[in-house]
Amino acid sequence: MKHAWLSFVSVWLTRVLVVLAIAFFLVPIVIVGVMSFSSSDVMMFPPKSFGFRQYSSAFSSGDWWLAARTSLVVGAATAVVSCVIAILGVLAIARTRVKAANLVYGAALLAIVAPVAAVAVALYQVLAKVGLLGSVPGLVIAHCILGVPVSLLVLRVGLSGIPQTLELAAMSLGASRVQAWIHITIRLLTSSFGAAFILTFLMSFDEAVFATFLGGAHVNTLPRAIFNSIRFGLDPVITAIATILMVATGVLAVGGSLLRRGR
Amino acid sequence: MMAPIHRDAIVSFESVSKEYSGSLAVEDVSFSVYEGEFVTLLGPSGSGKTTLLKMVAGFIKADSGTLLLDRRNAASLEPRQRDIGMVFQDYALFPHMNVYENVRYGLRFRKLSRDTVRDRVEEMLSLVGLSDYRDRKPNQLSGGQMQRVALARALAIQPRILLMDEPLGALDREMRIRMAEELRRMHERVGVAVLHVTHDQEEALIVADRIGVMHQGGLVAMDEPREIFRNPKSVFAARFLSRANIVDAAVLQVYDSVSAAIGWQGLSFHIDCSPGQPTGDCRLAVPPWAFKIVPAGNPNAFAVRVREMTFLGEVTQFLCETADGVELLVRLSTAEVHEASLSALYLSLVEGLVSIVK
Amino acid sequence: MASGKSGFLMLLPLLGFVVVLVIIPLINVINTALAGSPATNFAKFFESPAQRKALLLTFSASFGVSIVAVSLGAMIAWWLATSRRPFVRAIIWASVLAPFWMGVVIKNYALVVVFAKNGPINYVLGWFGIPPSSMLYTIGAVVVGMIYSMMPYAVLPLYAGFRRLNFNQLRAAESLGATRLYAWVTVVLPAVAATLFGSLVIVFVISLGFYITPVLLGGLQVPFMATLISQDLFQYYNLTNAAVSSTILIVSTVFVLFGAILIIGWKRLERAIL
Repeated sequence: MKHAWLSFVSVWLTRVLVVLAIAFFLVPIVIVGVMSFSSSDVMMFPPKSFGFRQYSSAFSSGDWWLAARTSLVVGAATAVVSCVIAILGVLAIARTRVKAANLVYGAALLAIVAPVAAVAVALYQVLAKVGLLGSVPGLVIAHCILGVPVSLLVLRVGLSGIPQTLELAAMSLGASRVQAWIHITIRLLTSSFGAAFILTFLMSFDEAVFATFLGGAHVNTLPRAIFNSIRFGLDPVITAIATILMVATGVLAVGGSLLRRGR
Repeated sequence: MMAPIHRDAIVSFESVSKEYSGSLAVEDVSFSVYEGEFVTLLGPSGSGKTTLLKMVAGFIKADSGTLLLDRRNAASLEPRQRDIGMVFQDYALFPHMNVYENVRYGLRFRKLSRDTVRDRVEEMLSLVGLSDYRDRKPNQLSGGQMQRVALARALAIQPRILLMDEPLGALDREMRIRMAEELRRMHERVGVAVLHVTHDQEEALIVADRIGVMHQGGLVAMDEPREIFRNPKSVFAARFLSRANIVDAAVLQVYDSVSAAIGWQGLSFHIDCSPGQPTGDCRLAVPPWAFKIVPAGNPNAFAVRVREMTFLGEVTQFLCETADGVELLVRLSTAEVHEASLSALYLSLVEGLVSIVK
Repeated sequence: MASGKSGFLMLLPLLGFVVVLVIIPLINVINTALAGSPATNFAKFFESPAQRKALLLTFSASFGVSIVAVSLGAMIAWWLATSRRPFVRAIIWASVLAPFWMGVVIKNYALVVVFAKNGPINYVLGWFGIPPSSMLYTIGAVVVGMIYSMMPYAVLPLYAGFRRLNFNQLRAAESLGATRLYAWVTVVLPAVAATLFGSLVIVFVISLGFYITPVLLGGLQVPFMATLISQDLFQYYNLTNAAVSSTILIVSTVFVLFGAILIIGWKRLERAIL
């Protein structure tokens, strides 16, 4: 038992580290939340007095509303396109005998780990060539690079929970393959589909790098607007916007993971 | 006994083989399922029985040989064109549909009036005794109930043949036997042809009109239950069905090519044989229950030394060794054993339970 | 099983996605970097001390981030996988997933607020008589921010890996006389080594492309590759130089991923991608 003390120390060191880390992860959220209720027009901790000043100036600004609308449109479009591509791909991979399917799946997943800045340059060139740079469709295409892998992952896990015998049963009862997919598989994938949609939407809604590199002069999404604002100084209005976004995405994300777990 | 020829074959395998990544999953299998007949394929897992079933369903295709459905070549038929009902091992009930909707599912692909559909579903639900459960979802049912829904769903489309893949495999033993008996009664009422796959011998014996024994992709024996036990034909079937002792013996003489005189352990006796049986060395399948105790000195008996004895309730099992070192598994009625001396036994054979195997 | 033909038709959109949005653009970038005289393009890149610094900074910071994030992630994932108290688990989950849900910009913004000169950290330090100093625009701030962002990528695969373990093996080891640490090192570590390595690789590779965090927390004082790429693109209009930087990142990524696939196999690496 000569390692007993070492074991004891390592167990406790781990605990202390984890507690500190967790505290550190949660602190920024709390701080931003607290500061959003500051009634001062300069950033200062702790706030001298509290009020809804930041919220009222956030809501009264037309620019923020416009950016939010752009983000919603891009996010929704990205989610739809990604989910459609992903569901077809996942069915092809898991339920047909296409040899190259797994290779394509792997390549699609790798898009999520490719260095974002480099991919942004790559897309910059391609989108410039086809004249979609600085347009909403161009940004949607770019966001699909992240959205498709996310949808693929979620839907593949969802599909793996649906026994293939259900489709075989439907086919033995007279359904064609496509009918079996529509009546049974896709119907049972609904909650995974919802989760994939939400996660893809959030991915796009939060995305700032592609938005900054590819948005051009006109497509200004919310993360890009916030990014530009804090690059050039700390406007306390952002604390309010950030708090609203944290709550909204938090709710959506919890909903998404509940859907993913299924009921 | 031969299968009745006057009935139509619903499914016929003709020298069917199937290869999976280099190894034969099914090798040169030929047999038919006739109208109204309940055929069970019995074998250990991996013996190819489920592969045969999936071929009938159209989920996989044979590499060689022909599969006939209603005397038509089935090669080009999609699963949905085959008019089959299938009961899966995991039941494969649609979890988002209730019992009623599950049973109705297959009927929506058939041009039937609304009333016919409703009547058919009701009829099926009452057949399996689940009329009161029509609104339940599959996750609110017990294993036995799910099994019945799966059966009702498969039968609702009035299939030409019902395929059952280990349908009772997920149930505990007591439930399995009860369901098997129910299945037997249901088959007698409905009269549909059934091809059923199981690894459970008891289940096979309860339900089947004919049993086919599968081993390493081949169909090694197929006959009515009584007959296949009496004459398992192959070493594997004899061992698998009854843990039979496989012993070397000699064919002394063949009479009219239907029966033979056999010599073994100093005994000589007559058994049935197939035409063309040569004289000379042969192998016998001697099931553990083919022995009886006789008093010492009986001329039709041989002595064995008892090596192990296991009490199994109504029977007692012995591991014995003959004078020339042959090991034998022997089961005797416990009542009979009671009086016997237990270190050595004098045994003779029960006529009609021993057969020649290859 | 469907025939190859209909399966291929369904795969077509995904295939198109991969080819048009991933493969062609990346090849295009590499082409641009190699256009004209490749030797000159790359020589120019390495001549600049600022770019050499950015390269070194990006790779060393990413390496450090992946080591710290995966070590810390392993501890947190272990606690998550073994704790049975719902309250503790809920807190840990919330802290791990919070940066995930907050969005890239917001979470970096939150850190900017925390690190700021009149922010909470300096406020607390003030209690101990330490004069306020800006922690922003330091390599430390960037690394902390990157770890914050990468935490879910480190914790989730490891959590899944720990959940696949048979905890009776650990109990068996302890019943045979091993200490907790010894049992962990000899029983758990070998079982999750591949997952650990996979997470390390994934976190490293993703870190290479970070843009928002270095810009917001590091500013001009801490230039990363992505920062330079952005400057080349939007300030100097030097597409070739941006492409050279991108090519270096892409080639490094491919190289690292390929090596990882050789070492632990594609299946295990795939598990590390969330």
